[in-house]
Amino acid sequence: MKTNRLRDSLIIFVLSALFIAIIYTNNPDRIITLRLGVYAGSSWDVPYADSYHLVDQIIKAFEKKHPHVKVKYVSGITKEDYSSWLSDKLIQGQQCDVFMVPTDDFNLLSDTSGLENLNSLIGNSYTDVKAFYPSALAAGEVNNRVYALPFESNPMMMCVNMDLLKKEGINLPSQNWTFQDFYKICRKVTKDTDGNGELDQFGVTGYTWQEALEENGAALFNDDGTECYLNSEKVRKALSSYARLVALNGHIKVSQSDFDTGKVAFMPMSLAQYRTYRSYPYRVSRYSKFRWRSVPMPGSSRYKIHMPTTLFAISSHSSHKQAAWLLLNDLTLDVHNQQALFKESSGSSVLKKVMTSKTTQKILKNDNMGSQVLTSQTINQMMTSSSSSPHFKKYNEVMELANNEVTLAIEQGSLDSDLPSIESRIENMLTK
Amino acid sequence: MVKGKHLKQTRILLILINFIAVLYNASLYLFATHYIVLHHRSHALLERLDVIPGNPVQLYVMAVAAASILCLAILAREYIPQFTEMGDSFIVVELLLMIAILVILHDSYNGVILLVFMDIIYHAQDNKHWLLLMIAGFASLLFSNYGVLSQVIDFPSLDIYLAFYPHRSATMLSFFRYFFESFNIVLFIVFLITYLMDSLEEKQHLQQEMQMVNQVNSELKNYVALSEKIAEDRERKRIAREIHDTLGHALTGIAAGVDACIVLIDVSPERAKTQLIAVSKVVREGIGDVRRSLNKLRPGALENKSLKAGLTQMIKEYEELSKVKIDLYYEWNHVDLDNTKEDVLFRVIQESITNSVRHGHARHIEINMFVEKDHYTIIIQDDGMGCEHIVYGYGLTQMKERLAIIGAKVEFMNINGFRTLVEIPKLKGEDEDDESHDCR
Repeated sequence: MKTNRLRDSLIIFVLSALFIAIIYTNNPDRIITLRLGVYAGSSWDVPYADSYHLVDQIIKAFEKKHPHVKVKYVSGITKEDYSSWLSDKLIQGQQCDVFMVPTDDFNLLSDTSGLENLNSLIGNSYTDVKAFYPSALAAGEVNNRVYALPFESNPMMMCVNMDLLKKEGINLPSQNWTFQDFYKICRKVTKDTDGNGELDQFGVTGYTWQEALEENGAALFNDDGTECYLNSEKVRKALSSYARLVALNGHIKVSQSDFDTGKVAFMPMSLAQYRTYRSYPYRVSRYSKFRWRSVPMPGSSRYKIHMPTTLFAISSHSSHKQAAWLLLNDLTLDVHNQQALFKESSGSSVLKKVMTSKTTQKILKNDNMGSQVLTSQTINQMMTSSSSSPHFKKYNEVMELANNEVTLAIEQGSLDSDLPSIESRIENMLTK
Repeated sequence: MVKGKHLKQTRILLILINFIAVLYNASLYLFATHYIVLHHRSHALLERLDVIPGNPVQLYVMAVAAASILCLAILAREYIPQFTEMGDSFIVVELLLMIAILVILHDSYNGVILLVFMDIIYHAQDNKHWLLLMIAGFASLLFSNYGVLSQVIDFPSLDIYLAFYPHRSATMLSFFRYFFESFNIVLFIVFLITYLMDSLEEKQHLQQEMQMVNQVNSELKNYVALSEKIAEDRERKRIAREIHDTLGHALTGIAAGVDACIVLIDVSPERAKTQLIAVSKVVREGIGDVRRSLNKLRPGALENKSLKAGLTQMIKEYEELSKVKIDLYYEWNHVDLDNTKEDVLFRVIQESITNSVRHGHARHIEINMFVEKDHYTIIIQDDGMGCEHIVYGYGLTQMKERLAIIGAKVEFMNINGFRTLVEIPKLKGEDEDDESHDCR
């Protein structure tokens, strides 16, 4: 009897504790606090005066819509420190409910289940998510599971020195130009103009071998990151084309300032760089000497070009996922907020509707550079035909190794002999 | 089983070591996280981990709480009687807590499995499902030993955390981890050996006691036989003395008187007649003496009591001594038999009950005593196993002979057990004292 009474009272105690906990957590009037993780400044390494202005506006509107939710964030964390700050919070179990995912950390965080799988939260509103550019959405998607929603993208484009091309009698490349067209123009314009025996006019600066691979349609890894194709026929061919392009400049290292002084025909540039460069004082000092234009990267009409995208995610450890989802929606899917982002920030919005809007066209027109330099249609085309980088945890690590080794091999002209060994080293890293 | 002092000490030590080990591992998570954050290595840690860890403070609190409850539960079950009775449900709680600790500590310390295993063995005899629980304990040991748990669930491994410490500190910290783990295993083995030795010792002890009991038993048997023999001798002597005193005296007197009569009958028939009257008187007195002697041999139960009272008392004593239920249906209330008849019937009923219990292993005996038109009937029925062929041994023969003395018939039957049927002829005026002379 005594035992039964003791057991019964234990069971009653546990059940009532559970009951109280359920009542408390489900109380609709309970004020909950969402923690938001953002960094100061631009994601694209360009000056950005007051990045908190937009965040504050979004939060204010959100809190007005949802009076039982308060949003808090820590200000003053620079982009450089953010990854480290976020890691500290993550391993201490104090992560924010909603946070900006640094581009380089997405694979790491999604692989270590730090990010909430949003599929169930997206649920029936999947049509809303279709409003994103596919490549922007794909940046936060792994194996059909959405772990983060895109916030801002930064498509790459090619700046063309119109005066230099006109001087050489070359037409402006069409939107559908290929890598071969690009190489031909570069070969044509690379020359010694003052006759001192040294090259002083060049085809391109700041063009990387990774861009050459993409524009030749060569992939370096499979999607799962289990195989490396560095030594494949396609990659070899693309790399040797790139080596030929580099070889055009002889031993001279062409820099960005050479482009600024009008001696270079092409320079790849991100949208953020483009939009920042136009603002005072850069525009006056740099681009007053020649007329220029932006065109899509060569080969982009046939192959997908990599587009960096910043993402917002919900922590898998968050205890207010529903509220976090609402905030995430406001940050990424809200047309008004995204339009404001395009106006204030230097990158591009991730919503098709925003990028093709009249407001966007107006913003681009009002830059005093002439409406022809960069149109919203061009950006739209660039973003539509872009892709995101593969999603596996060791991507950054192996890319760093590949970059160092391939760059060295190109400089030393030993690509053919080095590629097999670099590939096997990368595959070792991948399988470890 | 009786739990020895050493066994209890080993057990307490095992509980203590496990608690310290859980505390140590939880602290390592807490302090290593702190150290890594302090040295700005958290990103590097994340890169090496398979899964993002939870809050280390929460981990610490939960691990310590779970370990405390587990240790208290193990102790409470032995020392608080109300909990001891709850046996199996307690083991289930212990198993659940064990799994909780494994998960909370991210599979970094699995010694608690041995702890719970130990408790299952310790209470093995009190548990109905101990074999099932042993299998559960063994399965969990296997699972954790081969890291199956960490393959099913991704865990942030403690070794990765420790690798961030300088080599010497990491070695020291790891050393203590493995020390606790090994010490735990050693203690568990010591516990098992102590347990085995204790149960062996207990078995030996039991055997010794059994031997002692057997010895005492046989000594008692001998003693009973001896005292029976002594009582028999004493009774024989008493009877001999009685016969010598009463019959000897009377018969000697009668012999002398008859001798005198032989001489006198020719000389003086008158005097011979007188002498014979005297002899007759002596004979009557002798008969009286014999009757008194026989009266002393009456069953104890019947002394100064009626047959019914005697039977009731005897039945009551029998019921107390054995687990037999005896029902007596006595319809002889208006019957008054003489002492000899009562004695014989009492002995017969007593013998029948003894037989039912001893040979028939009966649980229930019914004694019916009816009065018919021209005889009295006693039916003694038991529910024992009876016997296929009735063999007339000493008991049954004795019974038959005794009953024959009082002119009664007896029949033994094998119906639903064993049945004894006695029929005693009715004498006219059975309650008349002088009528009873006929059957003496």
